[in-house]
Amino acid sequence: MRLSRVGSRLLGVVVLLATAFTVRVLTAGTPVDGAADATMVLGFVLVISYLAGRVAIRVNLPSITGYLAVGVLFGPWVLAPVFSGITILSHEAAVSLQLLDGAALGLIALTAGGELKLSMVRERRRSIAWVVGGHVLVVAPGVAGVMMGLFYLMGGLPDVPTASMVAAAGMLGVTAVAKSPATTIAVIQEYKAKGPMTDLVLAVTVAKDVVVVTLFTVALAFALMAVEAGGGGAGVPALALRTAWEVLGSLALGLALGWILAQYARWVRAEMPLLVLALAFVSGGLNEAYHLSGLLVCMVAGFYVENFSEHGHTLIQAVEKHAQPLYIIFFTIAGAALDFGALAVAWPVAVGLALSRMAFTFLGTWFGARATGEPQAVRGLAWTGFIGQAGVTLGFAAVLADRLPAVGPTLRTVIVAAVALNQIAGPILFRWGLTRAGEAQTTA
Amino acid sequence: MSLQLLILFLVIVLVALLGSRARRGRVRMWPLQRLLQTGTPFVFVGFLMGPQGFGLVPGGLLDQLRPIVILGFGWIGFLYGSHFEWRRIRRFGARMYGGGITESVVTMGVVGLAVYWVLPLLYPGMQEALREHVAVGLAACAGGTAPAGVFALTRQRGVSARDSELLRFFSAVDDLPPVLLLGVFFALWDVDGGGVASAPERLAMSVVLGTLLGLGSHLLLPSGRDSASHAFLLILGMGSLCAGAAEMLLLSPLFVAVLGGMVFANLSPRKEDIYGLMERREHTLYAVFLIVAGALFRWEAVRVVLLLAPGYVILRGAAKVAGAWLGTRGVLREGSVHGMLGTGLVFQGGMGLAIAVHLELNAGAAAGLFMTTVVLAVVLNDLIGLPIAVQALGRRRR
Repeated sequence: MRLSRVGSRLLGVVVLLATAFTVRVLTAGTPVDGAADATMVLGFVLVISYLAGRVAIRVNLPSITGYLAVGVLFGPWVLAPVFSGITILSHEAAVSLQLLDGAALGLIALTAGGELKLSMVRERRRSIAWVVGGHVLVVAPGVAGVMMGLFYLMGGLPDVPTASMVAAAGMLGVTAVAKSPATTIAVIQEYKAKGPMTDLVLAVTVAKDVVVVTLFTVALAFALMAVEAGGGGAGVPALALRTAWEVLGSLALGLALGWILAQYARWVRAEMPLLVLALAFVSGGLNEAYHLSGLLVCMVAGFYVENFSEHGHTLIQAVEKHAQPLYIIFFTIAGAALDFGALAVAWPVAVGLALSRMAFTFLGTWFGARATGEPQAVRGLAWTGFIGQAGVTLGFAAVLADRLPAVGPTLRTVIVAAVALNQIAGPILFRWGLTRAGEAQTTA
Repeated sequence: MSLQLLILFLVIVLVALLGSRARRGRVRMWPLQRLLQTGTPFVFVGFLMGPQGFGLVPGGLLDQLRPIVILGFGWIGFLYGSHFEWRRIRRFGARMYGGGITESVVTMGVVGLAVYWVLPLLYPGMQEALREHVAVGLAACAGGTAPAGVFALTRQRGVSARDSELLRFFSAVDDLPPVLLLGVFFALWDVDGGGVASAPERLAMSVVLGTLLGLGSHLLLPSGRDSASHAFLLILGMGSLCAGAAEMLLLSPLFVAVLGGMVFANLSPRKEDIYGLMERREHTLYAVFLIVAGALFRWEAVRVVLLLAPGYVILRGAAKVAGAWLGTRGVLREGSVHGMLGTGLVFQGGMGLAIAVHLELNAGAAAGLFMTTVVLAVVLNDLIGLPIAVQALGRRRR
C-alpha cells in the first residue's frame, strides 16, 4: 500500500509525537540532563512547527502563526493539563535554548536593517517621523485614557492611590507603543513583500525601537516619582544617562559590527553559515553585559552592510537563507511563553488594552500617513504591521513589576495577557494588510 | 562577556580568512597550508577561546552550546549510517566489509588492551571501572579513520589504484565497529547510575529509537517537491530529537543515529538527494563541533596524557598497519596489496572526534583524558600522517 504525501507526513508526525511523549514519560521524576532535553525539544520544534507553518500557509495564514500555535499547544497551557502535566516544551528546555532564541532575534534584526535602503529612508523621512510621532502622541495617551476609564469603571485598583493608578495607566499606554519587530520582519520576509507600505512599516519599526526604549525610560522615571517608589532606584538624570548610553552605544557598536561584516563580505566570503552563527551569538550576548540593545546593534549593522558595502547584499542573503531554523525556534518558544494563565485572570482589562491599542494604532498611523500625503492603502492598512507584540514588551512588563512594587505585578499580568492576544492577532492582521495593499509577492 | 563574544567572532573571521586564502593557494606555507585545510585550525581556535585558553568561551557558554553538540552527534551519526544501504553492501561484497571491519576491530582491540594495561602504570590507584571506561573509550576513538585525510592521500602520485580503492573503502566502514562498541558500552555501563532501565532494555531502547528515527525521517520526507532547505530542516529536526532523546535516556546518540541512518537508507527512495544535502551542510556543524572539541581540551591534562598521547598515536598507527594487513591478507586474501596499507588509515577526526567529545561530556572522573588525548592525536596525525603514508605507500615495497 502506498501512502499519499499527506498520509506519510501524518504518520511521521505520529511517530515523532509518540517518541517525544514516551521519552518524557520514561524520564518523568528522574533528574534529566538539561542540554539533552533542550536538544530533543529543538528537534521536536523544528519538525512540528515547520509542518504547522506549512499548514498555516495552506489556510492563508502566516507560517509564524503555525509556529506560535505549536508553542501554545505543546507549552504548559493546553496539552500539559490533559497529559498529567507532561509538557514537551518545558520551561527548562526553553531556558536551555535561550542562546538560540537570542541568536534568532539578532538575525531577525540584522535582516531588518538590511531591508532598509538609505535612499528610501531619505525619501520618506517625513513619513517615518510623522508615523512614529503619531504612535507616540496618539497611542500612548489614548490607551492610557482608556485604561484609566476601565480602572474607574471597575471601581479602581484595590489599595492603590489615584496617583499610582494614573501612573499605572500611563505605563500601560507607553508599553502599548512597543511592538514586535521580529513578527513584522518575519511576515515581510515570508511574503517577500515589497512596496511603499512595506518600506514604511519597516522603517518605522526600526525607528520605533529607539524611540520606545527612550520613551519607556522617561515614562518610568515619572511613574517612579508619581508613586514615590523610587527608593533605591536611579533618579531621572541617571535614567536619562543610561538610556543615552543604550541608544548611542548600540548605534556605535552596530556601526562597528557593520563595518567588520562589510569587510568580511568583501575579503573573505567563506564560511558564511558559521559567520551567521557567530554573529548571532555575539548579538545575543551584547544585551546583557553592557546594557546595550542587541536588537538595535544588529539593525544598525544590517543597515550599514546593506547600504555601505558593495557585497553586503550577499551577506544579508546568506543570513536569510540560513536563519529559518532559528526563526522557527524563536516563534515557537514565544508561543510557549504566552501566558494564558494571566489571560484567564485579567482578560477583561487585557481585551480592553488590546482593542484600544489596535484602535489607537490605526488612528496614529492614519494621522501620520495622512499628514505626509501617503497613498490611501498606506493610510488605511499600515497599522496592521504594528500590532504584534512580544519580547520587548514582556521585558518592559518585567521591569515594571520590579520597579513599581505597588502596581507592577498587576500591570505585568495585564500586559502579558494583552501580549498573548496581540501576538496571535498581529501576524494574521499584517498578512491581511499586505495582501490588501497588493504588496505580498508570494503566498509561501 | 560580550567583549569576549566579539573577540570570538573576530577569531572565527580570521580563521575563515586564512582558510579561504589557503584554499585559493595564496598562502604558501607548507605544511601549514595543508594543516589549514584540515579541521585542526578549528580545534586550535576552540582551544584558544575555551576555558583553558583565553577563556573567551566560559564554561557557562559551553554548556549552552551543548544542545548544538548533541545535535551534531545526531547529524554525524545519521549521515554515516545512511552509507549502509543493502544494495550497496551487496555490490561490494561481504569480504570487503569483512576486511574493513577486521582492520577496525584489530585496531580497537590492540589499543584498548594496551591502554587498559598501561593505565595503572601511569595512574596508580585508578579505579577498575574508570580503567575499563577509559580503555573502551580510547579504543572506540581509535578504530575509525577520517576520510578527508585518505582523500588527500589518494590524490598523491605513487599510490596504486587498488590501494587507493581499499583505503577509501576501509575508511568508509571502519567507523562502524567503534559506534557499535559505543552503543553496547553505553547500554551495559550505566555511566552515572541514572539510567531509566536495565542494560538489555537500554540496548533494546537504542535499537527502537534508531529504528523510529529512520522510519520517521522516511515518512516525513516522502518523494516529492520539498525544497532542499525544507528537507534539511526536517532531517535536522529528526536527528536532533532522537539524539536528545538518546542522551536523556543515557544511551549513545551516535549509535542511535547510525541505526537511524541505516534504516532510512534502506527505506527511503530519496536517500541519495538527502545524503547529498546532508553532506553539503555538514561542514558548518562539523566546524562548530571542532571548536567545541578544542574548547574542551584541558591544558592541565596535557601533563597527565603527555606519555599517553604519543604512545597512543604510535600504538594506533601500528595497530592500523597490523589490522589492515590482516584485513587484506587474511580476509580479502589479496597478496598484491601494499603491506603498509594501514599507514594510510592513521588520519583521525570525524567520527573519532565525535566519539571523543561524547565520551568527554559523559566522562565524570575521566574528564580531560579523552579529549586531550584524542585532540593531540588528531593534530599529530594531521601533521605527520600524510608524509609518512606517502613515503610508505608511494614505494611499492611489499
